[in-house]
Amino acid sequence: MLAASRISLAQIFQTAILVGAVGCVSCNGDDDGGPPLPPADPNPAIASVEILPAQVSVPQGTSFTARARVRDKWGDILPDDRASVVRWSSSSEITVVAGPSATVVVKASVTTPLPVDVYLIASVDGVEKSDTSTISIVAPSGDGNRDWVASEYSPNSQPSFAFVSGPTSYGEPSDRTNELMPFVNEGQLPPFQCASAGSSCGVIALFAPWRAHSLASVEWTPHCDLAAFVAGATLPTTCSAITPTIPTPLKPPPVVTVAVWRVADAPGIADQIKADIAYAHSVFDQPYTGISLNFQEHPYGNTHTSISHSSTCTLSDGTTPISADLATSGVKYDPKTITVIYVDALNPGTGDDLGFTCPYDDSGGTGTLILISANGITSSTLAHELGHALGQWRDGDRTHPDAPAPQLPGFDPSNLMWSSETDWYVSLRHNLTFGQIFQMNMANISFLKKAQLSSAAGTGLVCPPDAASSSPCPPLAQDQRR
Amino acid sequence: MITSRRTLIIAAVAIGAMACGRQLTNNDRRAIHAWLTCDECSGGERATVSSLGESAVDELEKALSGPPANQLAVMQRKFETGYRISRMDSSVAGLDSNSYATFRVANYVANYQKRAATALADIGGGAARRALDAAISDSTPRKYRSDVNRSIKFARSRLDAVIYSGDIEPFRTPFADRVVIAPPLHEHFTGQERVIIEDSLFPSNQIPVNVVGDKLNFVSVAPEGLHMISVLRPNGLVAKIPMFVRSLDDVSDRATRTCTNVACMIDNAPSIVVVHPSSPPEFPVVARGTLADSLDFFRILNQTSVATPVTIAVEWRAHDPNDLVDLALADCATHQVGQPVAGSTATHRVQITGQVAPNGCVAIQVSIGGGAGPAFGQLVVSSP
Repeated sequence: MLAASRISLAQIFQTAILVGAVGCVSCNGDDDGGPPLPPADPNPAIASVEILPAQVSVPQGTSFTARARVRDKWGDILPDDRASVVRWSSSSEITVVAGPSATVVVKASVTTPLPVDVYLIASVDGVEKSDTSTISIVAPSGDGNRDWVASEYSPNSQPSFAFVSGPTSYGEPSDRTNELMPFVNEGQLPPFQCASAGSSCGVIALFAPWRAHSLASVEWTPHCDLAAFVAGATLPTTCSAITPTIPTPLKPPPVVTVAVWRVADAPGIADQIKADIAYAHSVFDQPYTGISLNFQEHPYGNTHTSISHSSTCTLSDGTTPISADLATSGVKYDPKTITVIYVDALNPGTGDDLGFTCPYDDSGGTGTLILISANGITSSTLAHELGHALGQWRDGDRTHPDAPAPQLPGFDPSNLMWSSETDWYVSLRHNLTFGQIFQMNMANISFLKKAQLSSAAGTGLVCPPDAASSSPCPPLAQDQRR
Repeated sequence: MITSRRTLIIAAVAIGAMACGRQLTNNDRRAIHAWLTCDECSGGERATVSSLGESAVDELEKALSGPPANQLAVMQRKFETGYRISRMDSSVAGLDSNSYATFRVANYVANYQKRAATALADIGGGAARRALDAAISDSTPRKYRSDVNRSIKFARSRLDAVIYSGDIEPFRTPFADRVVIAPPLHEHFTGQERVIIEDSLFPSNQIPVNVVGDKLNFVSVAPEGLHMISVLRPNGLVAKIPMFVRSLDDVSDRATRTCTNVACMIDNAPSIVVVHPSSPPEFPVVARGTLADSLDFFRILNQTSVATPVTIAVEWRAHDPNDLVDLALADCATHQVGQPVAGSTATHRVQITGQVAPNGCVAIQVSIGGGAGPAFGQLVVSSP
């Protein structure tokens, strides 16, 4: 216990010590520190619109749903419901309902010879910048000189996305890595070809809406290959099934149990926790997350507590695991469960954290532990910490895309993993990139892999900590358009 | 270890002062804003603000009053949008958009203020001290939440503090538990020391202190959160050491944690042995809420062979003058609880008398009779 008090003192004065280390940064009056701060605006105008996906391969006769998202003049993504004012039009080969609506159903039915590119256009009244999506309508008989990918199809559903890797001589010969291919039902790919027969030189990761994500190694042959993630895919008939065989059918998203315990007694906190859960559902119950969260609320156990902790998931004495301390309040753990504990406060007076996530407990018992401060929560705190828990980004090169500065290109305050629910922009911390979702599902440090809940076999991919790296995982900022 | 820590703190303060009167850049302002709003602040946000030194004090002083109106409006809008897109109206019965947003806005404002206070204490110096002093004196018009008040007071306590070179155990304690302070190396306590718990509702002369062996014992009677403990030595020296009250679960709560009814609570309540003229005090805390929050029980034991009259009195303190504490006697065997006696909001005192049978037991129920609490009581059982 002697060490305990020393460490707690050290924690309290840690910043003072850091002051000594950092020192005076600059003593001149020149503002060489970045552009002026934008004014906080609760009602920002829409400055641009974009279509998801930006391009898509679609067989003749099928239909799918495209959606729009809108940004403000700073380029930040506005809340999804702001896109309800988007108007739709198309090139003359197809017809769409003009809206306004955040989504539009596109029926790929043309009378012109196939394949053909048609265009979907989204615009907002009074906004100069519109957007166009290219819809490549292909013949059901397919092109025997190309490779193909097939997934489940439901009329009017959102497209599937394949991250495709392998060497190709199409255009400039190159190795393509995690190239994003949006498609409906059966999508046309560039012709890939392994350098030597019998070797797996390619990979396809499939993001199908409302399905578990799937990863398959591929032996690309010199002729037409069909990577079928659905049983009975027959198009095109001249293609051979991919080797090795891809298991079908696609599985439903794996269920992650999230046990929510309350050892906090702030007035009204029980309903506020339910509200947090509702918000988290709105974030993760999306077509492409590949994960289904099952929240299990535990009733208040007549005990409450505040936590003063260190960054190593111990109490501020530096030795007692947080999980062990909270077990005395009745919290129980499971290695296949994310355990969320609402406490009265986190590090009050020494940092006042809003939330905190411990890495997965590789030694056994406790799974992943999330602490939430009842007197600190904003709208997205729980969802944000679940993002940490599922992606385990603490093991990566950074915890948040914006901190420490400079922020990663391709991220904005609408991203769930932004370091705060910022009060400068109305963008809700609500979105995840495909790059982030990929790691949540495929990376060896993800909760799904650590807890062995993933529908895919194996311990997962080792994603480099460099957020710009594209292999074996797509760049962290990769989203449906980039 | 201790000497080097002191040296580091002195060095930090000195270097902080050297951070001179430089103008804040836009990125400096971004850094301050990041610290005021970050969730986990794992990106060095706090250290970055500290490194700005006194140039950051003006911005932080403004932040002590809360975020600017336009930023507040942004957050209000976001909470309303979040409520709508998450369909909370259908998933959380009884929580309307206004209640949801009000709770979140209050947290947002409080976070802003608490982080500002912490950064001001990190930076130190006269301007930071004045800002914190002003915040403490204006706490009522500024309508600070209780946890904000505590953070500001703790931040102020850190400034100029001579850190006690002994040790405290445990650093993290529940309410009204025994805390032990060891003397500095080669020093001894005389029994003349006093302990002040800053931001406690109890003055130092009501905090039980005694020396056992060579260690100073006191009871952690303070609201949840960090508190600076001042150790007053007979030679006039004052040194400070922090203590963390982890919860308001008092000794009765801890003993009856698993109970769901009064009978269980009486059976498992902590005991007070009747002694003349009075027993050492206990410190119940009651508040509106669950059974455990609103009721505390103690078993009063007569270990003599004669019936003994007792007077049980609770003096309480609370932030809300409307908080009211009631007492009622209960039968240890039948668990029957008698008619409560209401306390007085004028004197903040309630008293009840009774008699305990030879080698018998009577239970006392402490309850919240008015207001929402928490009401912090000092319960004494006296016997003529």
